[in-house]
Amino acid sequence: MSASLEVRDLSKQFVVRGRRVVALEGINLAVRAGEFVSIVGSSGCGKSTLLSILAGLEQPTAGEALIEGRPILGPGPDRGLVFQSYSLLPWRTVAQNVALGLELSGMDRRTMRDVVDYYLEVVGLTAWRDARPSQLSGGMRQRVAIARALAPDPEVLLLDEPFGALDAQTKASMHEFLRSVWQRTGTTIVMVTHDVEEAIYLSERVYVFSAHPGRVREEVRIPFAPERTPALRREPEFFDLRDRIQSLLAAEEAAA
Amino acid sequence: MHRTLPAADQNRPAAPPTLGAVLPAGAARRQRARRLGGRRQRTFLQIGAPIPPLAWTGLAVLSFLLPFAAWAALAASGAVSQVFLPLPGDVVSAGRRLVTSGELAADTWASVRRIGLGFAISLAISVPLGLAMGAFRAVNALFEPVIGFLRYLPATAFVPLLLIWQGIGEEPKVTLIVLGTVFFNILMVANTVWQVPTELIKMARTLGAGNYRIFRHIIVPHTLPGVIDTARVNLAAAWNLIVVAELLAADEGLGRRISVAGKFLRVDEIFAVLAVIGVIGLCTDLGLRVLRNRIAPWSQE
Repeated sequence: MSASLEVRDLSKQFVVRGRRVVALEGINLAVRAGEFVSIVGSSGCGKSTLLSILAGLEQPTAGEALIEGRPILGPGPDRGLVFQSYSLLPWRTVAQNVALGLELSGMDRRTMRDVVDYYLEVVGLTAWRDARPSQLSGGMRQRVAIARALAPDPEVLLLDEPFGALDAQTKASMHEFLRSVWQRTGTTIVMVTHDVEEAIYLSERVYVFSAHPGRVREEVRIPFAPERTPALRREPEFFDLRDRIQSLLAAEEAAA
Repeated sequence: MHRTLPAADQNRPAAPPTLGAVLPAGAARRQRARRLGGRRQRTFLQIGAPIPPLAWTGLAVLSFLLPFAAWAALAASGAVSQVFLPLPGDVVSAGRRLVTSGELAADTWASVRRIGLGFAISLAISVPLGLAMGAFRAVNALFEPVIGFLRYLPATAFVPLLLIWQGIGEEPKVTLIVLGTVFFNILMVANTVWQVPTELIKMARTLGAGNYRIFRHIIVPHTLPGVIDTARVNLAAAWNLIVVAELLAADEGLGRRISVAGKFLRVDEIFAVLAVIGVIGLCTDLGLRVLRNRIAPWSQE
């Protein structure tokens, strides 16, 4: 199952030490059910704040965020969130970490075991089910976090710079992994990243944000077919897209 | 900023002055020889460097042996009268005397009971309150200012008040232990909650956890080792207070034994009782450390 998302005239302001900071202003965007959309922008463009609002962890100051046309009022099992920092519980095993959301939803033990086994298989960590997070590499830890977010069967997966802490090789293999997970589950994915190539390679559409205040600067359609291989990264068309988005971001930097 | 540069330097920034240009040739050569390849790092004097396990054991033994040897040498040299500084042998026989008379057992039990009860009450107040302060800003705003004030008041200054309020029984002694440890316990427990990464809490919320489950599945397991460490630190403070506590008309207790021995210039007895307190402290600390590593092996890394 997958759901659509919509953000309408959304603004978010914070008060930091008595000063008003506009994190997001007049954001409008829409994500179709089952689509993979990325948001890129320099730091301070409010992209993580937008993800927090979509997750229901924060409320917008003005405007609204909708899932399947209903307003997002708080966190819910319809949306899963993955952080850059993995945020695994170090005292739990891999399987117990994946089971956390199911436990919280009150699922019975036997069903839970089956679901956990299924998602461990999806992320390729069946052999590590009884290991502790400290025994895993960064890429494996992030796969546990993704399995944990997927286990409650969310309709939308929200990823906040999920591969930002990984080395280049691990990152590349995680990209293949995430594409395959997306194709297998059909979940809507919204990913926030500052890695332009990652956004192009993985997504159907990319929203380029500008900073201070955070606004949608441009929406870039990624015309590649759903079946993608690493060779795509060497296509001239790929370079063109990358250069176009990077020049948008660079113009942003120069203006700042 | 504009500056006119000589024509030759237009495209290249001026080179910074090097050591070679500043120092005479011989000195510059020696300077360079000293810098090339860096200096050898000595394990024992390198900040944060690990040491071999055998060296650790040796140093740990020395840590007890050195002060003991210094004491024994000073006492045996006769430079200090034995009235003030007894020989190690005298302390052992004083200790043996206290053991055979049964006084040591009674004193130890009396003190351990007071500290155990006082510290248990202190923890019973500080763990829930500290967790609540760590988790809820409102609770923190309500309690932190006043605790910040109270924690600076010396617990021993309350002794006359406690005598007026509670008389001369067990109560003022236990209350003193509570007063002397509870504020530190509260703030340190609250601090362990602030160490919980906010992303863990956000993550649990997105998976559908409410406050109760965030406490049960995230905050309590994450803070447990920190709470045990807090207890380890502040239990030592409880022992600091026992001597004063037992000045308040006690019949028995290790602190009481020390003040009585002091009156009769029985320095050997004072030393013996101090040794017992030290050993008890070391044992409880070790016990708590083992407990912490047992229930939270993940926190050792």
